[in-house]
Amino acid sequence: MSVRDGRLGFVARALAVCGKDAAQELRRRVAIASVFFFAATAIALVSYAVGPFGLPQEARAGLDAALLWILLFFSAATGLPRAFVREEETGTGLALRKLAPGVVVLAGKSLFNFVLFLAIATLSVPAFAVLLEWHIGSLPALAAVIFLGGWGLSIVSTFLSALVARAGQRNVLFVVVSFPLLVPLLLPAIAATMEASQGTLAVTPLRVLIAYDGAATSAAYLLASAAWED
Amino acid sequence: MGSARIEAVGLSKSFSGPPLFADVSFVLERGVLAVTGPNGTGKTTLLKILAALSRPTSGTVRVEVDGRELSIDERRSGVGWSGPDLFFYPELTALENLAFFRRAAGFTPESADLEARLEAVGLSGARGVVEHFSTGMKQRLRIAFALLLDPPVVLLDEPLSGLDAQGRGAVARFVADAGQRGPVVLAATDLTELPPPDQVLEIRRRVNGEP
Repeated sequence: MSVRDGRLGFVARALAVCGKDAAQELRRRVAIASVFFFAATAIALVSYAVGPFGLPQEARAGLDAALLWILLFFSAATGLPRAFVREEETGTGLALRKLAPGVVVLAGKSLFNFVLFLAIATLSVPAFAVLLEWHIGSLPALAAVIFLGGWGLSIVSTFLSALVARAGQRNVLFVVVSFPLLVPLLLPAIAATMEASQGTLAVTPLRVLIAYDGAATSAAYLLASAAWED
Repeated sequence: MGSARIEAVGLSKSFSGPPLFADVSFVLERGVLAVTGPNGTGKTTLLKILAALSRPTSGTVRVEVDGRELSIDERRSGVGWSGPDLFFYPELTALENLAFFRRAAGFTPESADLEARLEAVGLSGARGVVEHFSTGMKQRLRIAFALLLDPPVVLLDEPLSGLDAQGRGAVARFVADAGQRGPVVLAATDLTELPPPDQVLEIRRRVNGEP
Protein backbone atom coordinates (compact mmCIF):
# COMPACT_ATOMS: atom_id res chain seq x y z
CA MET A 1 0.00 0.00 0.00
CA SER A 2 1.60 3.21 -1.10
CA VAL A 3 -0.18 5.69 1.15
CA ARG A 4 2.43 5.14 3.83
CA ASP A 5 5.29 7.60 4.00
CA GLY A 6 7.98 7.04 1.43
CA ARG A 7 11.42 5.87 2.41
CA LEU A 8 13.23 8.94 1.12
CA GLY A 9 13.61 11.89 3.46
CA PHE A 10 13.24 15.61 2.90
CA VAL A 11 16.80 16.15 1.68
CA ALA A 12 16.72 13.28 -0.82
CA ARG A 13 13.42 14.51 -2.25
CA ALA A 14 14.67 18.10 -2.49
CA LEU A 15 17.83 16.85 -4.20
CA ALA A 16 15.64 14.99 -6.69
CA VAL A 17 13.91 18.28 -7.59
CA CYS A 18 17.29 20.03 -7.84
CA GLY A 19 18.70 17.25 -10.02
CA LYS A 20 15.66 17.29 -12.29
CA ASP A 21 15.95 21.06 -12.76
CA ALA A 22 19.66 20.68 -13.52
CA ALA A 23 19.02 17.91 -16.05
CA GLN A 24 16.33 19.99 -17.76
CA GLU A 25 18.53 23.06 -17.84
CA LEU A 26 21.59 21.25 -19.13
CA ARG A 27 19.54 19.77 -21.97
CA ARG A 28 17.62 22.93 -22.84
CA ARG A 29 20.30 25.47 -21.88
CA VAL A 30 17.84 28.41 -21.97
CA ALA A 31 18.52 29.86 -18.53
CA ILE A 32 22.20 28.97 -18.45
CA ALA A 33 22.86 30.50 -21.86
CA SER A 34 20.93 33.70 -21.14
CA VAL A 35 22.46 34.11 -17.66
CA PHE A 36 26.05 33.68 -18.79
CA PHE A 37 25.54 35.74 -21.95
CA PHE A 38 24.12 38.57 -19.83
CA ALA A 39 27.02 38.32 -17.36
CA ALA A 40 29.64 38.37 -20.13
CA THR A 41 28.01 41.34 -21.87
CA ALA A 42 27.62 43.28 -18.63
CA ILE A 43 31.26 42.70 -17.58
CA ALA A 44 32.49 43.81 -21.00
CA LEU A 45 30.38 46.97 -20.98
CA VAL A 46 31.25 47.88 -17.39
CA SER A 47 34.95 47.29 -17.96
CA TYR A 48 34.97 49.70 -20.90
CA ALA A 49 32.81 52.32 -19.17
CA VAL A 50 34.41 52.46 -15.74
CA GLY A 51 37.34 50.07 -15.91
CA PRO A 52 40.95 50.92 -16.60
CA PHE A 53 39.90 52.56 -19.88
CA GLY A 54 37.22 54.67 -18.17
CA LEU A 55 37.21 56.10 -14.67
CA PRO A 56 40.53 56.23 -12.82
CA GLN A 57 41.08 53.77 -9.95
CA GLU A 58 40.74 56.40 -7.18
CA ALA A 59 37.38 57.63 -8.55
CA ARG A 60 35.69 54.24 -8.23
CA ALA A 61 36.66 53.02 -4.78
CA GLY A 62 33.07 52.34 -3.73
CA LEU A 63 31.69 51.89 -7.21
CA ASP A 64 33.20 48.49 -8.00
CA ALA A 65 31.40 46.65 -5.23
CA ALA A 66 28.04 48.08 -6.30
CA LEU A 67 28.77 47.24 -9.95
CA LEU A 68 29.71 43.68 -9.03
CA TRP A 69 26.43 43.11 -7.20
CA ILE A 70 24.40 44.81 -9.94
CA LEU A 71 26.05 42.45 -12.39
CA LEU A 72 25.46 39.37 -10.20
CA PHE A 73 21.91 40.37 -9.37
CA PHE A 74 20.78 41.04 -12.93
CA SER A 75 22.62 38.02 -14.32
CA ALA A 76 20.90 35.82 -11.75
CA ALA A 77 17.58 37.60 -12.23
CA THR A 78 17.44 36.43 -15.84
CA GLY A 79 17.40 32.80 -14.66
CA LEU A 80 16.15 32.60 -11.07
CA PRO A 81 12.48 33.53 -11.63
CA ARG A 82 12.12 30.60 -14.03
CA ALA A 83 12.20 28.08 -11.18
CA PHE A 84 8.45 27.73 -10.75
CA VAL A 85 7.35 29.66 -13.82
CA ARG A 86 8.74 26.91 -16.07
CA GLU A 87 6.60 24.32 -14.25
CA GLU A 88 3.49 26.30 -15.12
CA GLU A 89 4.61 27.01 -18.68
CA THR A 90 5.15 23.31 -19.39
CA GLY A 91 2.04 22.30 -17.44
CA THR A 92 4.04 20.02 -15.14
CA GLY A 93 3.15 21.96 -12.00
CA LEU A 94 0.03 19.87 -11.40
CA ALA A 95 1.91 16.57 -11.41
CA LEU A 96 4.61 18.01 -9.18
CA ARG A 97 2.07 19.47 -6.76
CA LYS A 98 0.37 16.09 -6.62
CA LEU A 99 3.41 14.14 -5.48
CA ALA A 100 5.70 16.58 -3.67
CA PRO A 101 4.84 19.06 -0.93
CA GLY A 102 5.57 22.73 -1.60
CA VAL A 103 8.41 22.88 0.90
CA VAL A 104 10.29 20.03 -0.81
CA VAL A 105 9.90 21.67 -4.22
CA LEU A 106 10.95 25.06 -2.88
CA ALA A 107 14.04 23.60 -1.21
CA GLY A 108 15.07 21.74 -4.37
CA LYS A 109 14.57 24.69 -6.65
CA SER A 110 16.31 27.10 -4.25
CA LEU A 111 19.27 24.75 -4.16
CA PHE A 112 19.44 24.63 -7.96
CA ASN A 113 19.23 28.42 -8.14
CA PHE A 114 21.96 28.73 -5.50
CA VAL A 115 24.26 26.43 -7.48
CA LEU A 116 23.49 28.47 -10.61
CA PHE A 117 24.30 31.69 -8.73
CA LEU A 118 27.60 30.26 -7.44
CA ALA A 119 28.50 29.19 -10.98
CA ILE A 120 27.79 32.72 -12.22
CA ALA A 121 29.86 34.21 -9.41
CA THR A 122 32.72 31.75 -9.92
CA LEU A 123 33.05 32.84 -13.54
CA SER A 124 32.05 36.50 -13.20
CA VAL A 125 34.09 37.62 -10.19
CA PRO A 126 37.53 36.66 -11.62
CA ALA A 127 36.60 38.18 -14.99
CA PHE A 128 35.35 41.31 -13.22
CA ALA A 129 38.56 41.54 -11.17
CA VAL A 130 40.81 41.13 -14.21
CA LEU A 131 38.97 43.42 -16.61
CA LEU A 132 38.37 46.21 -14.08
CA GLU A 133 41.70 45.72 -12.30
CA TRP A 134 39.68 45.28 -9.13
CA HIS A 135 41.76 44.27 -6.16
CA ILE A 136 40.38 41.51 -3.91
CA GLY A 137 42.00 42.20 -0.55
CA SER A 138 40.50 39.19 1.26
CA LEU A 139 39.25 36.26 -0.81
CA PRO A 140 37.70 34.39 2.18
CA ALA A 141 35.76 37.53 3.17
CA LEU A 142 34.52 37.96 -0.42
CA ALA A 143 33.59 34.27 -0.60
CA ALA A 144 31.55 34.63 2.60
CA VAL A 145 29.67 37.61 1.16
CA ILE A 146 29.01 35.85 -2.15
CA PHE A 147 27.84 32.73 -0.30
CA LEU A 148 25.49 34.55 2.09
CA GLY A 149 24.24 37.04 -0.49
CA GLY A 150 23.76 34.27 -3.03
CA TRP A 151 21.69 32.13 -0.70
CA GLY A 152 19.45 35.06 0.24
CA LEU A 153 19.00 35.99 -3.39
CA SER A 154 18.24 32.38 -4.34
CA ILE A 155 15.71 31.63 -1.61
CA VAL A 156 13.81 34.93 -2.02
CA SER A 157 13.79 34.73 -5.82
CA THR A 158 12.63 31.11 -5.75
CA PHE A 159 9.88 31.85 -3.25
CA LEU A 160 8.68 34.83 -5.29
CA SER A 161 8.78 32.66 -8.39
CA ALA A 162 6.36 30.25 -6.67
CA LEU A 163 4.17 33.17 -5.65
CA VAL A 164 3.87 34.71 -9.13
CA ALA A 165 4.06 31.52 -11.20
CA ARG A 166 0.34 31.39 -11.88
CA ALA A 167 -0.23 35.15 -12.13
CA GLY A 168 -0.99 36.77 -15.46
CA GLN A 169 1.76 39.42 -15.59
CA ARG A 170 4.29 37.30 -13.70
CA ASN A 171 7.47 38.90 -15.07
CA VAL A 172 6.38 42.42 -14.14
CA LEU A 173 5.01 41.20 -10.82
CA PHE A 174 8.29 39.46 -10.00
CA VAL A 175 10.33 42.62 -10.57
CA VAL A 176 7.93 44.83 -8.60
CA VAL A 177 7.69 42.46 -5.62
CA SER A 178 11.37 41.49 -5.57
CA PHE A 179 12.69 45.07 -5.43
CA PRO A 180 11.66 45.93 -1.83
CA LEU A 181 12.52 42.42 -0.64
CA LEU A 182 16.00 42.30 -2.14
CA VAL A 183 17.23 45.82 -1.39
CA PRO A 184 17.84 44.94 2.31
CA LEU A 185 19.99 42.05 1.04
CA LEU A 186 21.94 43.93 -1.59
CA LEU A 187 22.93 46.93 0.57
CA PRO A 188 24.85 44.95 3.23
CA ALA A 189 26.23 42.68 0.49
CA ILE A 190 27.69 45.72 -1.29
CA ALA A 191 29.06 47.13 1.98
CA ALA A 192 30.69 43.81 2.89
CA THR A 193 32.12 43.45 -0.63
CA MET A 194 33.74 46.91 -0.34
CA GLU A 195 35.34 45.85 2.93
CA ALA A 196 36.48 42.54 1.45
CA SER A 197 38.17 44.35 -1.43
CA GLN A 198 40.12 46.34 1.15
CA GLY A 199 41.13 43.17 2.95
CA THR A 200 38.84 43.40 5.98
CA LEU A 201 35.94 41.31 7.18
CA ALA A 202 32.85 43.50 7.59
CA VAL A 203 31.25 41.96 10.66
CA THR A 204 28.09 44.07 10.84
CA PRO A 205 27.01 43.67 7.18
CA LEU A 206 27.75 39.94 7.40
CA ARG A 207 25.59 39.67 10.51
CA VAL A 208 22.80 41.46 8.65
CA LEU A 209 23.19 39.00 5.77
CA ILE A 210 23.05 36.02 8.15
CA ALA A 211 19.93 37.44 9.80
CA TYR A 212 18.33 38.14 6.41
CA ASP A 213 19.09 34.63 5.16
CA GLY A 214 17.71 33.09 8.34
CA ALA A 215 14.52 35.14 8.21
CA ALA A 216 14.03 34.57 4.46
CA THR A 217 14.64 30.82 4.74
CA SER A 218 12.26 30.50 7.70
CA ALA A 219 9.53 32.53 5.99
CA ALA A 220 9.90 30.59 2.76
CA TYR A 221 9.76 27.27 4.66
CA LEU A 222 6.62 28.28 6.52
CA LEU A 223 4.85 29.79 3.51
CA ALA A 224 5.96 27.36 0.77
CA SER A 225 2.74 25.37 0.80
CA ALA A 226 0.55 28.48 0.70
CA ALA A 227 2.56 29.91 -2.19
CA TRP A 228 2.73 26.82 -4.38
CA GLU A 229 -0.21 24.56 -3.58
CA ASP A 230 -3.86 25.33 -4.31
CA MET B 1 -3.46 -4.36 -0.99
CA GLY B 2 -6.03 -3.72 1.74
CA SER B 3 -9.54 -2.34 1.45
CA ALA B 4 -10.15 1.18 0.20
CA ARG B 5 -13.20 3.39 0.06
CA ILE B 6 -13.94 6.79 -1.45
CA GLU B 7 -16.94 8.87 -0.43
CA ALA B 8 -18.12 12.24 -1.72
CA VAL B 9 -20.79 14.14 0.16
CA GLY B 10 -22.62 17.17 -1.28
CA LEU B 11 -19.80 18.34 -3.54
CA SER B 12 -20.27 21.53 -5.47
CA LYS B 13 -17.91 23.75 -7.39
CA SER B 14 -18.34 27.33 -8.53
CA PHE B 15 -15.78 29.49 -10.27
CA SER B 16 -17.67 32.68 -10.90
CA GLY B 17 -21.39 32.64 -11.37
CA PRO B 18 -23.62 29.59 -10.98
CA PRO B 19 -22.12 26.32 -9.77
CA LEU B 20 -20.53 24.02 -12.33
CA PHE B 21 -22.12 21.12 -10.45
CA ALA B 22 -23.86 20.86 -7.12
CA ASP B 23 -24.71 18.27 -4.48
CA VAL B 24 -22.67 15.41 -5.95
CA SER B 25 -22.56 12.45 -3.58
CA PHE B 26 -21.49 8.83 -3.93
CA VAL B 27 -19.79 6.00 -2.08
CA LEU B 28 -17.50 3.52 -3.81
CA GLU B 29 -15.70 0.65 -2.12
CA ARG B 30 -14.86 -1.60 -5.03
CA GLY B 31 -15.67 -1.51 -8.70
CA VAL B 32 -15.97 1.18 -11.31
CA LEU B 33 -17.90 4.44 -11.06
CA ALA B 34 -18.28 6.23 -14.36
CA VAL B 35 -18.81 9.98 -14.30
CA THR B 36 -20.50 10.92 -17.55
CA GLY B 37 -21.95 14.00 -19.15
CA PRO B 38 -21.32 16.40 -21.99
CA ASN B 39 -18.25 18.61 -22.26
CA GLY B 40 -18.04 21.50 -19.81
CA THR B 41 -20.17 19.97 -17.08
CA GLY B 42 -17.28 19.61 -14.62
CA LYS B 43 -16.16 15.96 -14.90
CA THR B 44 -12.50 16.92 -14.96
CA THR B 45 -12.97 19.36 -12.07
CA LEU B 46 -14.80 16.70 -10.05
CA LEU B 47 -11.93 14.22 -10.47
CA LYS B 48 -9.40 16.89 -9.49
CA ILE B 49 -11.41 17.56 -6.33
CA LEU B 50 -11.45 13.84 -5.55
CA ALA B 51 -7.65 13.78 -6.04
CA ALA B 52 -7.23 16.81 -3.74
CA LEU B 53 -5.83 18.82 -6.64
CA SER B 54 -8.64 21.34 -6.36
CA ARG B 55 -10.89 22.43 -3.53
CA PRO B 56 -14.66 22.06 -3.66
CA THR B 57 -16.80 25.13 -3.02
CA SER B 58 -18.77 22.99 -0.60
CA GLY B 59 -18.96 19.36 0.40
CA THR B 60 -16.38 16.83 1.55
CA VAL B 61 -14.36 13.94 0.19
CA ARG B 62 -13.23 11.06 2.38
CA VAL B 63 -10.81 8.36 1.30
CA GLU B 64 -10.24 5.50 3.70
CA VAL B 65 -7.59 2.82 3.37
CA ASP B 66 -7.75 -0.14 5.72
CA GLY B 67 -10.28 1.78 7.81
CA ARG B 68 -8.09 4.87 8.24
CA GLU B 69 -9.09 8.19 6.69
CA LEU B 70 -6.33 9.80 4.66
CA SER B 71 -5.34 13.39 5.31
CA ILE B 72 -5.62 15.78 2.39
CA ASP B 73 -1.86 15.55 1.74
CA GLU B 74 -1.98 11.75 1.81
CA ARG B 75 -4.97 11.80 -0.53
CA ARG B 76 -3.18 14.10 -2.97
CA SER B 77 -0.14 11.85 -3.27
CA GLY B 78 -1.76 8.50 -2.49
CA VAL B 79 -4.68 8.51 -4.91
CA GLY B 80 -3.77 7.67 -8.50
CA TRP B 81 -4.91 10.28 -11.00
CA SER B 82 -4.47 11.02 -14.64
CA GLY B 83 -6.17 13.61 -16.76
CA PRO B 84 -5.78 15.83 -19.80
CA ASP B 85 -4.10 18.51 -17.61
CA LEU B 86 -1.27 16.14 -16.76
CA PHE B 87 1.96 16.96 -18.56
CA PHE B 88 5.51 15.64 -18.33
CA TYR B 89 8.95 17.18 -18.55
CA PRO B 90 9.63 17.40 -22.29
CA GLU B 91 13.43 17.28 -21.90
CA LEU B 92 13.33 13.96 -20.01
CA THR B 93 12.54 10.43 -21.20
CA ALA B 94 9.47 8.53 -19.99
CA LEU B 95 11.68 6.51 -17.63
CA GLU B 96 13.35 9.66 -16.26
CA ASN B 97 9.98 11.32 -15.73
CA LEU B 98 8.60 8.36 -13.78
CA ALA B 99 11.83 7.99 -11.79
CA PHE B 100 11.77 11.67 -10.86
CA PHE B 101 8.12 11.66 -9.80
CA ARG B 102 8.64 8.53 -7.73
CA ARG B 103 11.66 10.06 -6.01
CA ALA B 104 9.86 13.37 -5.44
CA ALA B 105 7.04 11.43 -3.82
CA GLY B 106 9.56 9.87 -1.43
CA PHE B 107 10.00 6.46 -2.98
CA THR B 108 13.17 4.91 -4.31
CA PRO B 109 12.86 4.42 -8.06
CA GLU B 110 13.98 1.00 -9.24
CA SER B 111 14.74 0.76 -12.93
CA ALA B 112 13.36 -2.76 -13.38
CA ASP B 113 10.09 -1.77 -11.71
CA LEU B 114 9.75 1.38 -13.81
CA GLU B 115 10.62 -0.52 -17.00
CA ALA B 116 7.88 -3.01 -16.14
CA ARG B 117 5.40 -0.18 -15.63
CA LEU B 118 6.29 1.31 -19.00
CA GLU B 119 6.01 -2.10 -20.63
CA ALA B 120 2.54 -2.52 -19.11
CA VAL B 121 1.34 0.58 -20.95
CA GLY B 122 3.16 -0.25 -24.18
CA LEU B 123 6.05 2.19 -23.80
CA SER B 124 8.91 -0.23 -23.24
CA GLY B 125 10.63 0.76 -26.47
CA ALA B 126 10.19 4.50 -26.05
CA ARG B 127 13.74 5.74 -25.43
CA GLY B 128 13.44 9.32 -26.66
CA VAL B 129 12.49 12.40 -24.70
CA VAL B 130 8.80 13.07 -24.06
CA GLU B 131 8.93 16.16 -26.28
CA HIS B 132 8.93 13.82 -29.29
CA PHE B 133 6.11 11.57 -28.05
CA SER B 134 2.86 11.25 -30.00
CA THR B 135 -0.48 12.07 -28.35
CA GLY B 136 -1.14 8.37 -27.75
CA MET B 137 2.28 7.80 -26.18
CA LYS B 138 1.72 10.72 -23.81
CA GLN B 139 -1.65 9.25 -22.86
CA ARG B 140 -0.03 5.89 -22.12
CA LEU B 141 2.50 7.67 -19.93
CA ARG B 142 -0.38 9.36 -18.08
CA ILE B 143 -1.81 5.94 -17.25
CA ALA B 144 1.60 4.81 -16.00
CA PHE B 145 1.81 7.96 -13.87
CA ALA B 146 -1.60 7.26 -12.32
CA LEU B 147 -0.37 3.82 -11.24
CA LEU B 148 3.14 4.88 -10.24
CA LEU B 149 2.67 4.46 -6.48
CA ASP B 150 0.30 1.46 -6.67
CA PRO B 151 -2.58 3.60 -5.44
CA PRO B 152 -5.50 2.12 -3.51
CA VAL B 153 -7.94 4.41 -5.37
CA VAL B 154 -7.62 5.22 -9.08
CA LEU B 155 -9.13 8.25 -10.84
CA LEU B 156 -8.89 8.32 -14.63
CA ASP B 157 -10.11 11.28 -16.65
CA GLU B 158 -10.85 10.36 -20.28
CA PRO B 159 -8.41 7.41 -20.16
CA LEU B 160 -9.01 6.37 -23.79
CA SER B 161 -8.30 9.80 -25.24
CA GLY B 162 -5.78 9.70 -28.09
CA LEU B 163 -5.19 5.94 -27.85
CA ASP B 164 -5.19 3.50 -30.75
CA ALA B 165 -7.33 0.33 -30.70
CA GLN B 166 -4.62 -1.69 -28.96
CA GLY B 167 -4.16 0.99 -26.31
CA ARG B 168 -7.88 1.33 -25.72
CA GLY B 169 -8.15 -2.43 -25.25
CA ALA B 170 -5.27 -2.44 -22.77
CA VAL B 171 -6.77 0.40 -20.73
CA ALA B 172 -10.21 -1.27 -20.73
CA ARG B 173 -8.64 -4.46 -19.38
CA PHE B 174 -6.73 -2.49 -16.77
CA VAL B 175 -9.91 -0.71 -15.63
CA ALA B 176 -11.72 -4.04 -15.28
CA ASP B 177 -8.81 -5.51 -13.26
CA ALA B 178 -8.39 -2.44 -11.05
CA GLY B 179 -12.11 -2.38 -10.35
CA GLN B 180 -11.82 -5.90 -8.94
CA ARG B 181 -9.18 -4.72 -6.45
CA GLY B 182 -10.55 -1.36 -5.35
CA PRO B 183 -12.42 1.79 -6.30
CA VAL B 184 -11.91 3.21 -9.79
CA VAL B 185 -13.57 6.46 -10.84
CA LEU B 186 -13.64 7.22 -14.56
CA ALA B 187 -14.65 10.42 -16.27
CA ALA B 188 -15.66 9.74 -19.84
CA THR B 189 -17.93 11.20 -22.47
CA ASP B 190 -18.17 7.81 -24.17
CA LEU B 191 -18.33 4.52 -22.25
CA THR B 192 -18.75 2.18 -25.19
CA GLU B 193 -15.19 0.82 -25.19
CA LEU B 194 -14.87 0.61 -21.42
CA PRO B 195 -16.09 -2.26 -19.23
CA PRO B 196 -19.64 -1.77 -17.94
CA PRO B 197 -19.39 0.36 -14.79
CA ASP B 198 -20.87 -0.69 -11.47
CA GLN B 199 -22.25 2.82 -10.92
CA VAL B 200 -22.91 5.75 -13.24
CA LEU B 201 -22.91 9.35 -12.06
CA GLU B 202 -24.30 11.59 -14.76
CA ILE B 203 -23.54 15.29 -14.58
CA ARG B 204 -25.99 17.24 -16.70
CA ARG B 205 -25.54 20.68 -18.13
CA ARG B 206 -27.21 23.14 -15.76
CA VAL B 207 -29.64 25.63 -17.17
CA ASN B 208 -30.36 29.01 -15.54
CA GLY B 209 -32.10 28.63 -12.23
CA GLU B 210 -31.89 24.86 -12.16
CA PRO B 211 -31.01 23.62 -8.68
